[in-house]
Amino acid sequence: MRRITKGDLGGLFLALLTFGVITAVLVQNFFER
Amino acid sequence: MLRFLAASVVLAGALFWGRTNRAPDLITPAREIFPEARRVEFQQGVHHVYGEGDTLLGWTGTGTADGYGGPMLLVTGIDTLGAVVGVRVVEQRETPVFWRMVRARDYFAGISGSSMEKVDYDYPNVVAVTGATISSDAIVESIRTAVAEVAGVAFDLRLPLPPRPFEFGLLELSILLLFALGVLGHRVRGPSRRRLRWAGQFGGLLVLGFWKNSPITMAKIAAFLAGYFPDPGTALAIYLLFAGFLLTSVFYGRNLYCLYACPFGAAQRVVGAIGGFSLKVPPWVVRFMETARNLVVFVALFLAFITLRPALASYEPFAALFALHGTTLQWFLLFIVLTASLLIRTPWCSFFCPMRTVELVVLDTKRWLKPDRREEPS
Repeated sequence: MRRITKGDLGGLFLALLTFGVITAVLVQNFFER
Repeated sequence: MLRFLAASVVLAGALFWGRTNRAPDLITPAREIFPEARRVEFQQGVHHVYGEGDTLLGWTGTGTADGYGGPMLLVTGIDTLGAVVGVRVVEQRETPVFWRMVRARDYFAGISGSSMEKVDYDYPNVVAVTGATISSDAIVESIRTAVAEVAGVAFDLRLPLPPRPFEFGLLELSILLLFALGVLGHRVRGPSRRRLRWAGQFGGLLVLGFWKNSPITMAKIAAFLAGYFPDPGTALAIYLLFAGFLLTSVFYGRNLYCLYACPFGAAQRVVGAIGGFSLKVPPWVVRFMETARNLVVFVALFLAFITLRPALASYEPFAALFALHGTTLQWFLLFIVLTASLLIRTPWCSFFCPMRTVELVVLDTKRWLKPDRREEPS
């Protein structure tokens, strides 16, 4: 198995951040209706 | 497939839950419009509002029209002189961003006091909020229907309702052309295909993006799935987009909407071309993101169905880019995605876009209904 690079971690951070924001958008939609 | 079926069952349950127990309260809005009301009585299809000493104060009528995320229901009050007193929204399924604008601009203030014959589509005080024409038109149509209802019962006046138009304009024509380009591009190879794709995407970016802001969104999908079908006369574009998406997915195994028409895909490609290089995303991240995206789509649909508000499902930052309307979070999302586009090829399309999940569902269903013999183990 290849080693996890900084690029992988950066990508994962970006992905989690984006999913976090998407979840927050949905939650905001729900409470602002 | 099993997971898809389980998800469908849960979503159908949510929709059923959302659709039951929903008798709108029409008395409270009548009392709000006429604060001095003592008694509200429903007769001949309109609510009669009585005040102190049982004097008639006026009437309230209900009107409904198709908005962006489904039908909206408005109550409009008319006094005994035939003037509009006020408007209350009983049910609406528009996006929270649109509704925030309606509140901020005191949308209904201008209509109060106007004579019921003068409430028209081009009524000057009802200013359409940019980028939300469907929602704005639906508000005006709901008010007009309610006013016509009261006028007929209380004043014996037949107010003509506007004819339901059939709109086939530049937007609809452009959608047909974009799919035609896509089919052409799908049939050729090499640089011609590249050129056709850029041509399609630029067209999509200009027409479906900046000009009309009408890409396929999660809200529109959720509205269809919830059983809200907008009037094809005024919302033909979305039917064309859906038809093109589904037909090309089934016949070509890849939907040509995403490749040739989607304005947000085009925006990311343009940014990517400026960035000039693309990082490769490791396969395990790709797999993780696919699961996460499908889960997000599921949660979004679940929320939309259980509240019966399809517009809540929209998490895309499209309106922020194309209509310059958005919440802080949507702007932030747009910023992340466009920044990521500099490094990763079309990150929204690859990892976050709900249309990819829809496409996979269509393709899986097709495979399930008609298994490809070549794929079966010999």
